[in-house]
Amino acid sequence: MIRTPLRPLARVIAARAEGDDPDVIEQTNIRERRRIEEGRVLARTRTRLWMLGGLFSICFAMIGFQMVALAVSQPEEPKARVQGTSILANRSDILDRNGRVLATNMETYSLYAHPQDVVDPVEAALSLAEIFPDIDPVQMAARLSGPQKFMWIKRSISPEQQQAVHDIGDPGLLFGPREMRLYPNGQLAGHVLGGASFGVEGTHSAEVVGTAGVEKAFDTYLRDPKFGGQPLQLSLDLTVQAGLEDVLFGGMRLMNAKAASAVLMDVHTGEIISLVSLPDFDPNLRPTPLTEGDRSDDPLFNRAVQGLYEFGSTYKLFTTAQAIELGLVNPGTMVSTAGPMRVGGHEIEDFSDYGPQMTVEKVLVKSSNIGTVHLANQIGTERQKAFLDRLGLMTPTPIELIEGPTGRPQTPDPWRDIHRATISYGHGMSTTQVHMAAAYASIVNGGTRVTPTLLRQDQTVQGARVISPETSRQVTAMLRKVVTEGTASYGEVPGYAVGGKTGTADKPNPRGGYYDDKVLSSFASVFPSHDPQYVLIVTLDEPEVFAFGEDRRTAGWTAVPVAAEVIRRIAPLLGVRPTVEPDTEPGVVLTAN
Amino acid sequence: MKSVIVAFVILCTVGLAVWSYSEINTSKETLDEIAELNADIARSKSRLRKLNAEWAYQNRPERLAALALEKFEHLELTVLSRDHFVPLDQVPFANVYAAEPPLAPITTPVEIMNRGAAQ
Repeated sequence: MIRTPLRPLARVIAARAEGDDPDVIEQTNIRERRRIEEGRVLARTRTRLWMLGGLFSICFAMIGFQMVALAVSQPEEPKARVQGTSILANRSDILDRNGRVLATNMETYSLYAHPQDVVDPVEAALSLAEIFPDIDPVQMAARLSGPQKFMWIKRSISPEQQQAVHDIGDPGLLFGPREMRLYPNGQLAGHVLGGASFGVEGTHSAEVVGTAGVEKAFDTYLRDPKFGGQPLQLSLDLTVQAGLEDVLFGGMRLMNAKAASAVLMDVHTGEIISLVSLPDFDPNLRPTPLTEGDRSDDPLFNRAVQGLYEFGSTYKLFTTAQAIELGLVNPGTMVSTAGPMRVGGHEIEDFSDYGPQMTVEKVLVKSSNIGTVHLANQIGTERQKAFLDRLGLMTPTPIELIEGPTGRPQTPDPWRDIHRATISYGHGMSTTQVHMAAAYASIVNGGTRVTPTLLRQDQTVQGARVISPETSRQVTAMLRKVVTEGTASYGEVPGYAVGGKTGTADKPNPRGGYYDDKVLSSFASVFPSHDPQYVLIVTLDEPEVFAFGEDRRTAGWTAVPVAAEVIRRIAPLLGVRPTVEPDTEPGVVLTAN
Repeated sequence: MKSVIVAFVILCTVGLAVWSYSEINTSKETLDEIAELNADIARSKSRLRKLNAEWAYQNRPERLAALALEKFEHLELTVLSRDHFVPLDQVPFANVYAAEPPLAPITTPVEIMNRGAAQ
């Protein structure tokens, strides 16, 4: 580049020659040079500004494009999921105590229609009616031709039915994946499991919600994905449940009873190993509840948990145990059994005349009402109420079934002397079978309170003390004598040393009073009585059997043989080995020093 | 010197761009693979549940009792009773292991997991 000098010599000489100031030339040149420089800087700045503007425009355009792309595109799950599969985990399974499946899920399909897409509504309706016999073709054709845009046809269908609907080939008939609850064992433990149905439904999935039993009681747990599909393990034993249901059903038929129920409980943990209520139902096809008539005739009615009954003489154990615990009597104390006896204007009688007096043990073994009332009179009302409360007989059981709280015991208010007397032998107060099982377990397990539960327990939690271990041992030995010498002689099962107490209660008439020929017979048993492990309560509703020339309804003739057969069947399944009963009577008796 | 630095930076940028492009592609492929594996796990789980349900259904006590009755002539299975309990020393154990040589170790394991899953 050729730079123009600020003071060109020729012009300076010429200016000097003319007498001008040569500095003017220099200043002019400086100005010119600055002008050129400024022009160059301006051009460069302008270029930079343009480039910067272009860059920003490109950035804005890119961001804008990305925003539009995000706004218009379909949302999709991020691919990089850590626990992608756990989302697919659905309602948890329910298992028995040995891990066998009681309730699980099954993938199936629902059938729905878009009536506007149906090509031939009449033909489609006829074909559907052939596949599903409960569909009315005329009604279905009308619905398929209607203005509706969407309609459900079937909530869940089998693969065969799905194929048949596919074969119709109508584009308006569509399938949605659906998960249904399956109870593979059918009716077994139906009352405990309850059942499930669909909650909120969409075409792609539906919520399965529990409707009764443990399904409803544990609905939140079973549905919560937080637990990752961890199964719910119950205390029930499937094999024992099957054996018990089998024998009880046979017994019910044999004894001409209209219904039967049974509860089998572990005396140490309070776990319910089996709970049966007959007639029963299949939770896969849960029937609709009865809207009229006696509620207890409904197969859905859980007699063992919801049924409140007077259990009759089985209550005598509580009175006897309390009298011994309070030190008022011992098993050998003589008690008056002279009758008839009058309390509060009511007459109390025995089944037969037992003479003027008997030992406390005999009162229980022979089941004397009068003798038991004498014991209750010694105990007193307040102590009686407090003891029954300690056994858990005054409040609903905490059993984990949605129906549990409905089994609220019915007790008299006020609790008069006549109530004290009748309750001592099991009349005038209604409880459930689960109450009875827990109370018997509390008495025979060494005397600590047992809380009934349907969940498998891995360790024993010792409850509050109800009676002393010594009293527990004494009354359990008395229960054994009821079988060997008393009213429950048909309850003997060799090798299992069954002990128990019978109870026959007249059924209350809804019109007032009691029926003469309808009873509820129960047998509360414990086995083996020298080392109690299980309590079994069997109840038959309105049994009647013809034996030795007359109709017999008492528990000794009805509930006891059924319970004995149950124990014969299930004790080996429970792993209880038959044992030779230790001799309870002392071999040598000290008569004098 | 300046132009060398500029050339080096441009080369680095191009190199990084190529590397990140290939990384993006690899991650996309891996993600697809994971998605496929997840779907596979889900299918296997679902199949397992179905098989468990089927197993429970086939082994329901009612069916087993009926089968035991039907095959009584061959199997002679009866309801477990107290007579079936004996002390351990009275159980006649056959000494089967003494007579037979031990089995050879498995050298060619066969993968059977998910076999037939597609059916």
